[in-house]
Amino acid sequence: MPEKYIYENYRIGRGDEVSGRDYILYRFYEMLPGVLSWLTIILAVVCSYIIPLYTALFIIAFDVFWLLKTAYLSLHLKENWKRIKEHMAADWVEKLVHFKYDHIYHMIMLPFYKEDEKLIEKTLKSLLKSDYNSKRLIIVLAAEARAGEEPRVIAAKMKKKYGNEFGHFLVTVHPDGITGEMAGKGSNISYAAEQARKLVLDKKNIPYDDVLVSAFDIDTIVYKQYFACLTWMFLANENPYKTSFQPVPVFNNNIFEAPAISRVVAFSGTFWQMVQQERQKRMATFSSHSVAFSTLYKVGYWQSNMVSEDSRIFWNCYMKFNGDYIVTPMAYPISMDANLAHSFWQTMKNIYKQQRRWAYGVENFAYIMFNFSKNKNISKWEKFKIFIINVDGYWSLATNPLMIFLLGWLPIILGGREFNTTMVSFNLPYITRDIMMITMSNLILSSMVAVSLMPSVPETKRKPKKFYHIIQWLLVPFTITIFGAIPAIDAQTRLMFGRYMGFWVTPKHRSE
Amino acid sequence: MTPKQQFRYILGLFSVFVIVIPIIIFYTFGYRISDNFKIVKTGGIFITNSETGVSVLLNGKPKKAAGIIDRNILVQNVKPGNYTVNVEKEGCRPWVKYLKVQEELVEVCFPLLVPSELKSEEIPRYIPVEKSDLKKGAKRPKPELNDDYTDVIELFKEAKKPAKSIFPAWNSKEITALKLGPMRKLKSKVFLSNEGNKIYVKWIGKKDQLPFFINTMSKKLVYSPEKTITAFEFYPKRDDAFLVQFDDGSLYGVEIDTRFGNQNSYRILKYCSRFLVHYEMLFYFVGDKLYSIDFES
Repeated sequence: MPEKYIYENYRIGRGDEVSGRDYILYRFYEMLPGVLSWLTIILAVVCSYIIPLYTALFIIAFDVFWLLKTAYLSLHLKENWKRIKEHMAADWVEKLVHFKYDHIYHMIMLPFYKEDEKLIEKTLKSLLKSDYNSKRLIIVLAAEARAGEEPRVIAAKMKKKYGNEFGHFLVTVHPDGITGEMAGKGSNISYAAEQARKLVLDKKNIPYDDVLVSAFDIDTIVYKQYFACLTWMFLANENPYKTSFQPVPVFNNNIFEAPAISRVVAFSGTFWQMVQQERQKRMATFSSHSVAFSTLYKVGYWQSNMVSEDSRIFWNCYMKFNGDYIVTPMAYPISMDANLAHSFWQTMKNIYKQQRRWAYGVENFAYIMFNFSKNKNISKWEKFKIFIINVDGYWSLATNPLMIFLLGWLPIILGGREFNTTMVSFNLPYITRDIMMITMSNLILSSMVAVSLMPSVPETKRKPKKFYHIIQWLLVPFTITIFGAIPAIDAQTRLMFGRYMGFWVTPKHRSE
Repeated sequence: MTPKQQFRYILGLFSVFVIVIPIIIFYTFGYRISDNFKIVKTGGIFITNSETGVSVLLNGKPKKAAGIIDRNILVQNVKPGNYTVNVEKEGCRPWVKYLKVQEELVEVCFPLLVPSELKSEEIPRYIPVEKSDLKKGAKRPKPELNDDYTDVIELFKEAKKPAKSIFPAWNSKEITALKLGPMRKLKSKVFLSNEGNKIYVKWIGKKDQLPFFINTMSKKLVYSPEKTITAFEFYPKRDDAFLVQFDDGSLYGVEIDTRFGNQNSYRILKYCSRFLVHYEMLFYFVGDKLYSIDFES
């Protein structure tokens, strides 16, 4: 008889937390994405040398596939853009009239490290400005003990200033050095959520089912009707305790201050989330998301022993409920900071590190596959689909830009003299260039969506020229290679060799 | 987007993929549809070029011109057969080759485009003093040596010494064995030698990098003139052509490529007593006067 699957036994952060056969299995899955990516790159080089003609034909076919895939994703982007515009235009407060919703509380997790007081204040003010009864908002300002005294002082100051304006305002300080924890957002908000349960929900007798938790970043600015929209979606959902709610992250807070590369990278992230919103079955939570407190409590909050707690929480829920869990795409934006530092190069470094941290979400793959091997309640077909979706996602991110923009030239360079006299060899650069040009035409849609999602230019800023915001999209081949493929390979390689990453806090910076 | 819509899009795009891929692949191989709607195999001609305003003619008919960014020219859709290829540029002497085009293959050409009128400039030994600069009745000052002149003289002196790489590590045994000097020249991996008034070429690089204008790994005779060769050097900024000086003082530019029975050569100077190539510059003496020609201008 197969062993009963107990979810709590398998909240694994990394391979070295298990032993014996489980260790080998977990490490195998940790290594697989990196091995596949490196195998692709090595094969591209070797095949370009040994069988340049077939490699060239494969590259042409792959370029066409990429063109069609881009077109397919653009259709999703367009669809989601339409839905976002509809949702932004809707009056969610009005729509809520049809529901009884006074009992619903929103617990807002605001973890912070050493961020500026002004930044925190701006976030709190945006919460107060939202079209939702602020007395139904529970603010959990989650500081880190390892950050020193200053964050506690800031938190106390914020509580004093805004404490009475919200329903509840809790300040937590996550202790440093708890055994088995990794310093980072996951461990901080898990601790804070448990504190909030004990000190607010239990004390005030608030049912866990009536609380929706929004795990935000400290720079997350909500649009006016975010909570009304979220409440509506929660109440209208057929299965509200078996779903997470995912808004669309836009990086608008400092968009006019960020350099073009940072803007393009930020919007590329937004677009990917928009595309995913239209492919619900491929979705996992990302960055800021919301979930019922009772669900969160059942799964033991966010995992505190790994980096990508934002997406892992979805897989935790998925495993806990034996696959009966899904993400509800909200098609409603929330705004965060684009990467910006004091100097251009520091901004570039920060973008790279942030992208690498996001790409380190590949650590979820081992968790999913390992849990699949233990959980017999999920169908094999479902497991196979998720395996393919994940392998394709990680492999594409790490290798496709390299194959398209760099490796395409390899047969010409390595193919040798005989190949270099063929029509195929001479046609290869022209055909790939033409296909790329057609593919790039999809960027017209991207630039239109980006411009429409951007806020109006503040009066203090010089008005940016519209064509500049369109031209910047020509940076895409560069950004998806340097800030897409390379950090993804970096993250996968680290995981492959068991050199586990820690949580890197993205520094927040806004010009005055 | 509903799963049904997604399925429709996937099906549609998959159909496009299945239809488009064979068409593109056949096109890449050189298959074309002829005027009478038959599928024919074609070849091509590739013109290696780095200049603007260059155009290609096949059998006297204009075929293609160099682009603004990509100046190399690929002439496609060429039916297999023999062709006269002319590469033209305004202000340059005509370049002609007789090529045999084969199906699915591309012939590569390296046209040597020599300006019709080469602009030479004298480099005076002394910095000239303008008459207006002299005060009335003042003594003519001692002439000041022209730095440009002395620099070129240094280059001529250097050229007489055995060739050495800037970094000693680069002087591999292989290069030392070539015994480079006035009769033996090396550029990139192309080695030229003058043996008994005949110029030979040898590729000393890897076989898979062998350039088309040499086309053999063995030593190959590329020039055998009637007149006596007194000096030779690689053509400025090129390794597929050389300059050769004869005993009557004339200087010619000759391409290394002897394929297809036609080797283009052009007279560069009617007379010079000695010459030197330094990057894109040609320096030469006529008597004791030094001149220069910039091949990039």
